[in-house]
Amino acid sequence: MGENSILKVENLTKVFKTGGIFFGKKFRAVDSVSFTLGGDSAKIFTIVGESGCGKTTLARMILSLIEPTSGSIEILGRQVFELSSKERSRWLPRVVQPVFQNPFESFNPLRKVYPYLIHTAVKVAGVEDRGEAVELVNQALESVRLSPDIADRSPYELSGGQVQRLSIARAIIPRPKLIVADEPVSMIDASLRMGILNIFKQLKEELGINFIYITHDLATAYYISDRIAVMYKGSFAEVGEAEAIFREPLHPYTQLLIDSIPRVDRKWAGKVKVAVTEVEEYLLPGCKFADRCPYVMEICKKRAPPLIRTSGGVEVACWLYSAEKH
Amino acid sequence: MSVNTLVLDCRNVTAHYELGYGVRVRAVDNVSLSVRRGEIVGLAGESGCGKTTLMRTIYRDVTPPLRVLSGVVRLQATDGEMVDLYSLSEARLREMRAKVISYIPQGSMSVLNPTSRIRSQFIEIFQKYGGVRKDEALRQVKDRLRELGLRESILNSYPHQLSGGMRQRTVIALATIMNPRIVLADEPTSALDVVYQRGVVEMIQKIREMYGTSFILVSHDMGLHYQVTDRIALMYAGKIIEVGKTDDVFSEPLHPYTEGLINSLPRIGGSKRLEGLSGLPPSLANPPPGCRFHPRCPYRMEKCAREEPPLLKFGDREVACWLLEGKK
Ligand SMILES: Nc1ncnc2c1ncn2[C@@H]1O[C@H](COP(=O)(O)OP(=O)(O)OP(=O)(O)O)[C@@H](O)[C@H]1O
Ligand SMILES: Nc1ncnc2c1ncn2[C@@H]1O[C@H](COP(=O)(O)OP(=O)(O)O)[C@@H](O)[C@H]1O
Ligand code: SF4
Ligand code: SF4
Ligand SMILES: [Mg+2]
Ligand SMILES: [Mg+2]
Repeated sequence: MGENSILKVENLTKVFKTGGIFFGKKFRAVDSVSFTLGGDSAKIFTIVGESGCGKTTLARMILSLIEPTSGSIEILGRQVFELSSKERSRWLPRVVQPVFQNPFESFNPLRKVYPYLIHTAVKVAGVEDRGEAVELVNQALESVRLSPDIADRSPYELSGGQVQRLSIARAIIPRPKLIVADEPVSMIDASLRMGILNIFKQLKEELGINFIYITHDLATAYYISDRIAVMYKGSFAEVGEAEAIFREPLHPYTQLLIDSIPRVDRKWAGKVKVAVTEVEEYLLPGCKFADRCPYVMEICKKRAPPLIRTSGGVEVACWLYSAEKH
Repeated sequence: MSVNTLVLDCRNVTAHYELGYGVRVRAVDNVSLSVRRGEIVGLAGESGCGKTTLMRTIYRDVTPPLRVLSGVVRLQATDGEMVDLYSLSEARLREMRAKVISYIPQGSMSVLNPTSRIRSQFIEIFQKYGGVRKDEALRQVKDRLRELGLRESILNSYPHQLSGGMRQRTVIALATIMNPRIVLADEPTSALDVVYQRGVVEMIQKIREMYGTSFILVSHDMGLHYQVTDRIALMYAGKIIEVGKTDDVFSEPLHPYTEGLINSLPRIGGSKRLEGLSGLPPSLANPPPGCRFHPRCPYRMEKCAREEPPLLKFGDREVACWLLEGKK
């Protein structure tokens, strides 16, 4: 992808030291994650995984909100951790913007929304002319289908869905190349979710904005993604075109996950096996799914499987797909 | 006992939050709902529509500013005996809880005591309600865990050592250890991912099969309702607007809100562009007159803004919508 690469993440790792829960052990909340985002047209890249698998930690590293323990992040060809502090505070927010799970966190509850958006246009997007700032803000509001009079209110006078639209409007004011959206619709009612997700699709198509969409909801992931990464206990278990992964999941964990979706068109068959504790799995030396995997082999318990590219173009971290397994 | 026996019958219940200054949140307004033995009834609806308030009312967990203004909640105390929950003495009510009706509140993974082992939490309930010795209690707890397919080793754990899915199963095992007739489970799986969620509801189904326990399962996840509930009740702005057999409601939703909601659910393999419902759920402090859904309803008629549609019965389906007036 070279030239067109928007984001290139290599061997990104975050180690947390915890007392209590993990008995003073270190554990890798994110473990050697690599992927690239870019190409000829904008894409929606979705990261799905269960609660606690490391999605938010990964997102926060990409947003430069926390430092990785090791690994690198390249945005538009530039190493993020080699940027000067001035570039980090000025250039970075113009190319990468966040949308958080709780939309109310993005806004000061006491402050009217409109002046805050104007402030974003001036300070973050660097627009000097006031008229131009107003125009940019109004365009952003139109993109998320909010009328400008709504922005005259305070956040607590709006619904969760409206505030989430506002936080998307705020994020697109600087015309970023990439938006990292961490569970953006999980606090929003089902009847309003599709409206927000349609906005992502439309921003991708009309403004060429790339998205990293983080979610635990596979049905919405299917609805909007171009590519999907399934994350399990800190690492990617499987990465590929959304269509291919949902049609024919390769990793045994992805298979379990897709079988467990409470679909509205087909009922579950059979039963699932659930881990007793989370600690056990995080600390397994080999494949972290080995305790629950119906296909577990000797090698799985000893060595973590590498990400293997299959003939169909999907990458999967499972010894079943390796020539090395015996 | 016939399978059709009612274990819960809730008739025309109205419960409001009375906040002073004349502000009244009409969280539950003239709601009727019944549950039969061994039945899993789903309660669905948008955030803030009154689901939790209805559960609290059915459990008689009513403290100011919440007040029950009218209606009757009847529970099957013993075979063939329905009692009016609100006419019971405090002592009798305490006895009914755990043994007849059990409540798993929203966000309940935190109800486990973090500083005590799971073992002591089980024994405590057992001793409080069962009046048995400690070793006998422990034996019964172990039997129960075995029956439910849970490992005995969880008894030695502290809550934080268990995975979220295992913690939630433990909460449910605790809530059902005294074999209540009905369990009110408020969003028991919404903090869990799909695999753990499936594990938890499989346990609920197993308890129903083994002990004939009835459940009201509150969830905003329509997929979950489709998978596990026998009947589903949809709540909108403090009212139940449609009730029916789950499969029937999904294949042929009759109320325009139900229809809009079901049509906006993403389907794996589907490629249709989906639109959410337009507009917003109303404020319960100041609900719209007539049908509470009328400002968002694509089929609204003149009458809808004036008169409130009653819950009309069509066989085993109930729907509150003027479109269905005079049908069937
Ligand atoms: N203690 C309270 N005092 C005043 N109003 C309350 C109180 N608890 C709830 N309400 C209001 O009552 C209405 C119904 O709330 P309830 O908690 O029953 O909704 P719910 O359907 O369970 O929502 P959710 O899906 O978010 O759990 C809401 O408008 C809510 O703001
Ligand atoms: N600041 C922190 N210190 C220690 N552990 C953390 C910290 N932040 C997250 N974790 C842990 O790292 C793991 C991954 O968390 P997170 O990235 O929030 O997961 P997700 O977003 O996928 O739910 C979890 O076990 C979480 O408890
Ligand atoms: S590597 Fe082994 S244990 Fe892990 S998913 Fe593949 S087969 Fe199962
Ligand atoms: S009563 Fe009228 S407004 Fe209400 S759902 Fe039916 S058609 Fe729509
Ligand atoms: Mg998270
Ligand atoms: Mg609730």
